[in-house]
Amino acid sequence: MMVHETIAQPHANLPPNLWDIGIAMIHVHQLSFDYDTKRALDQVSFRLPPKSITALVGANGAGKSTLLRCMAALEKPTTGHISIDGLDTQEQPRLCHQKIGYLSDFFGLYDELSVQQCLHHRCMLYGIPHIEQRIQETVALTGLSSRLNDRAGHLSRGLRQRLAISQAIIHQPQLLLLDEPASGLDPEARDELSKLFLLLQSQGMSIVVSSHILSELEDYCDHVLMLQNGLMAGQRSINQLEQIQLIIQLLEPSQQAQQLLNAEPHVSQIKIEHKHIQFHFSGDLYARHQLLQKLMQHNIPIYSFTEQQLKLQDVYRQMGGDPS
Amino acid sequence: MNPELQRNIWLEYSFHRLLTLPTILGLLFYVVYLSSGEFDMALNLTTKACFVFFAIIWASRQLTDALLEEVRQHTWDWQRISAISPWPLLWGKWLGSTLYSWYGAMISLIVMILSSPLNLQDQVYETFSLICCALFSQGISLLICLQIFKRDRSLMRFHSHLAHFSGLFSGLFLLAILWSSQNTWFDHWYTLAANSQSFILGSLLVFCFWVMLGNYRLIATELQIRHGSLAWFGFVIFIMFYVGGCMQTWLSGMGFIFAMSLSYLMLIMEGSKPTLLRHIKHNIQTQQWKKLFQQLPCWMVGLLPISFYLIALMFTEPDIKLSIANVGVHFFYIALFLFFLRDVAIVSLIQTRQKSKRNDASIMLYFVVIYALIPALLSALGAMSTLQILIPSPSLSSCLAAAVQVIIFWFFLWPYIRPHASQMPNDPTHR
Repeated sequence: MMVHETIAQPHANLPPNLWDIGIAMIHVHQLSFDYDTKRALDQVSFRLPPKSITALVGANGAGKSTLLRCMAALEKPTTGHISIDGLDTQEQPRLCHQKIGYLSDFFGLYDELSVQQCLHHRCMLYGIPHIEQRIQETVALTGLSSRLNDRAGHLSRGLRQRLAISQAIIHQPQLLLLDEPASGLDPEARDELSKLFLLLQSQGMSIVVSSHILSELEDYCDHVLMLQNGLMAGQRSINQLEQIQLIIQLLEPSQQAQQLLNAEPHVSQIKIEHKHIQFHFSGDLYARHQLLQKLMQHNIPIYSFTEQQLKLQDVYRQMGGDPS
Repeated sequence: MNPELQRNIWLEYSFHRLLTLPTILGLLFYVVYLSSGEFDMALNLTTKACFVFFAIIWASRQLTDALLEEVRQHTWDWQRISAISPWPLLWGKWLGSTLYSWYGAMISLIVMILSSPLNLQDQVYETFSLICCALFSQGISLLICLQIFKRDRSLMRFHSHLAHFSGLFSGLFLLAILWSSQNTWFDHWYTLAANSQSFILGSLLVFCFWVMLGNYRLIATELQIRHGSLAWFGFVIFIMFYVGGCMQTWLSGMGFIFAMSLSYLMLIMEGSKPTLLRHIKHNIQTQQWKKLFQQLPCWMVGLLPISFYLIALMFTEPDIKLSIANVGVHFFYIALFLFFLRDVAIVSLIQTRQKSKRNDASIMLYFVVIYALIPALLSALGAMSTLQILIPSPSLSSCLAAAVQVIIFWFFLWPYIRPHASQMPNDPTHR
């Protein structure tokens, strides 16, 4: 079931001249994209702040890759606008390219070249001065310093992924778009990838990562965008995920417990299943203590009072997705 | 250094390879020299054959393979998103991927000059024209690859073969003209003698320029620099002017037929997807003229000068002698134009299908059936008079039949142009 009250499509109806592009790193406004006989994206609107890491989630074929390609100014949308740090991707695609690093779901490496040559070639394509210095800085970030002379085709999947990311960030873009970056990586490589994304974020980069494997996004994302059949199904800040979910187990069902919880200002989204009550709690520890005290004073037969962190999968489910 | 050139130097050049090629070529030339006894025609012909092999046959292959590899290794998007400008990317990719074959070609060319019995002026002419033929051939291969890639975002082995053979054929065709002792097709181009070396070399240079311009514009489009199809607009006008010169008249039916043939070629290569027609209609309705101009396909842009040329032709004496009375030639021009509009609608209707990979084959099949098989069948049955309702013929009834078909096929196409994709008829993705 869709959770309509939490779906945010801010400023979806604003004309382009009223975009608050001074704040948003990415502003997508009523974006549609048609393939020959299929509409891949339909009136998609959202905005993302700078220095954010956003998970772009949705089932296969939902339009994630198309949206990323449009944001990377590689495809021209049928209708709508995309602004990257204030630049319209259709009006100034070349300037946008300088602000964007893009990694497709295929790594796109020249297998015959060494890591050093791959990165050198990228620097030349971007006209970067002091190439050797930039290569050293980049490989220090991505942990490829010891692999500079290895041929790209001989690297493991995890290292190829790192090389591809090195290529995407070597021109120090403000925005990094990654399409399914962790697919096929082992848990260790995924963990290192998470750390790398957080490091890049700390250096001021905004990142959008698409994936249909939610568990891999949980460690580093602070925003979630969900696409369903080309439609924007929802947008959430991960702050909402940080909202505590409390679970109360009762010895027997209690109507009074529900009435008490309904009256509480910090409580929302109450779900009651027989002797199991689950709800969101926005108060601090003191407020939580007061709530427990109140319930006990009213002789609510509580035998368990626990907290649970909301997982990305729960949010995805609430937004209408099927995590399976 | 140019990044693409640098990359290819890393890939193509090694000390071993740099030594191998001149050694093999040196041995080959020495064997020919020994067997013929002296520097003479045999050695000269061998060096020419080697040049053709390296600069036309092999280089075109390398160029198409290079682009195919970019697609297969998914590296093309990297380049599209980079800061490189179209011109460095074009010449870097062009020269870079053919670097080793040019190495062989240049060795052959040097030996050819040394062994040539011609005087200096003829040698310069021969050398320049050979280089122009090679550039033209390679340019055509690249042009077709890029055009296919622009349309489908995919490039298969079949496409690279098609591009390679097109380049090869055009290069060898030019060589045949170059090496034929006498130009028997036309004597004068306007007032210039068509057999003169300067005219042939000038023509070669001009056609090389157009091929390079076409490649530049396609690369620029890939880099999201959109100029619209102005280059094609200019090329259509040029081709009508150039062919007109061969007929020694500004307004030539042959020029019109050439321009229409090019439009057909572009229609087959670019296609006429209903999505595109829908975008064009949307941009006209919303008066987004800049966007409209950037989106127009070449075949559509070319129709504008062709239409004016056709109108002008209506007021001139026909320069083409058809088997039927000359008076019908004007009808033939109109019918040709109208049948083209019909074929645009049919190509669009074919491209509404989901399985787009088979659309190319369906379009080719359609053209073979309508313009080859049916005429052959009707000819065999002795019913050639009915043919005029299917293909352009110099008669009023052919024009009327074409006009009716234009209305019918565009009527069937209209539902696909009118709505958004999500509301299209027979759309399995309809939500």
